[in-house]
Amino acid sequence: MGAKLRKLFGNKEMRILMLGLDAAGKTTILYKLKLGQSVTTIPTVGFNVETVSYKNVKFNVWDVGGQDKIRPLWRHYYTGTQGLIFVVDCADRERVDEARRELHKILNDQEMSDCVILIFANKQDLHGALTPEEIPEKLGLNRLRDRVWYVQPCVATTGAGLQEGLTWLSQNYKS
Amino acid sequence: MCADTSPAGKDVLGFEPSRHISGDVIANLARRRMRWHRKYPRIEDAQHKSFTRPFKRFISKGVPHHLRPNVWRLSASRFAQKYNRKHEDVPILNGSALLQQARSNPHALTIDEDTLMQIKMDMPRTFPEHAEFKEGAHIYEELGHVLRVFAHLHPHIGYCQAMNFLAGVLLLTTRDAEATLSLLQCIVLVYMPDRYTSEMKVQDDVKILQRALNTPRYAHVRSALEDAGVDVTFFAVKWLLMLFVDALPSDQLLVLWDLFFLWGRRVLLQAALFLLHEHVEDLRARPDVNHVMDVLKDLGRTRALTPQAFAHGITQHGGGVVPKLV
Repeated sequence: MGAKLRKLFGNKEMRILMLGLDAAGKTTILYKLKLGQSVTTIPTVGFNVETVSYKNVKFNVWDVGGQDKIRPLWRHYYTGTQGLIFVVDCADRERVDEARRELHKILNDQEMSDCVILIFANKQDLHGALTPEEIPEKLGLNRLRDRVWYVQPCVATTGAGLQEGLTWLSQNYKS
Repeated sequence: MCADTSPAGKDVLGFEPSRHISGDVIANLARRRMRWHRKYPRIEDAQHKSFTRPFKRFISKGVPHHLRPNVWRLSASRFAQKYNRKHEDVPILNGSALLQQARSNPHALTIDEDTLMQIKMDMPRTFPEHAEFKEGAHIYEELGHVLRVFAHLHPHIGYCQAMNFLAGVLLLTTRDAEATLSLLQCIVLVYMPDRYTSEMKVQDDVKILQRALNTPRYAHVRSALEDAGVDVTFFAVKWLLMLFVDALPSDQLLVLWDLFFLWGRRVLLQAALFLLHEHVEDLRARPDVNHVMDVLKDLGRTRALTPQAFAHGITQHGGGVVPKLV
């Protein structure tokens, strides 16, 4: 069955790569989506992968460790990625520049040239967090040409905003 | 010094046991303990120095847990001495004075802000389920001291994720921050050079593993991985950087570390081949990324249950394809 037919009959599968700086909340998001509960996470050396089904779409979500020393390994996971989830710790204003640089480095890779981009603006519950409105400028999203992107505010630990993010992905991905 | 006993219902390192240890294995451990006591009594107070063939064979047959701190230090010191002769600029140092400083006046250490932040961020994320890694517990505090002194001594490395887990296992085994700091330096500088920096030379090790898997002997493993669309990098990086922490049950993990300190990095690659080979039926059960990753995340269904059999299994793999690395 062709990809178009699959899409028509609601049997979609989507490969999602979730990146972001360390302690942004990637693993917490993954398991909140998968299990519906907030789990104690440990730093991800390597990655976690889980399948999350939502509204007839099977999301294969790859959560890759974010510490700077480990980032050179990210590119091993690029191939076949249809959607990038980039998680930002909005309470960590000091590292937002670093997040912007990393995001653009990823998007400049040939292998990632077709994927859609969902920004999870995480930790919205914390005092002084960057607002979703500040994010496009801080991450230089307005400079992107011919890219489909969207900023979704969220709180990973409660799950607020996460499903809205998946809905956006399912409506905007290119097969 | 640590004993072979552990809190009720916990494994030898104080973790939730992932499986039942049979009476045979316990009897085997008791037997080995007796034989060590008879043959190498001086290792008990760290007086044993020589590294003979029979002594190495003894190690590979299983080290009683209470002797591990001394056996590991002895094994590692051979490599450390060689290393220090070559690297007079950044040698492995005895950090006892610095550890003392870290405990009493942490600001005296020079560590850059980012590194300090990362250590702080990862401390509560290191074995969060373990009773001794709760904030305020002695071992938890010592973890912070060890990581900070390491970063102070070796600013070009600072702190890399995975080092927190390595230091954690070392602390739980040696129950001693000084020994932990020396062994951590040995691992990061000598056994695994440039693996914990952004050079990420662990990719070279992965390549060796890939080459090994391309030989006919491992065709069954290779096809199981290929059918599931799993790249070796996906799991091997974590295995190697974490020295299999979080992948193996404690008893097997420690046997692997006995061999690692004895023979060096190649043991990790041999263990990877052995474990893949042992789990190939599980891998084949469902050719799907999620399934394969689940199997590889939680090993320990190996048939070789005694330390001796497990160690033997490891040494039976990688011949001719895994070079002598350290």
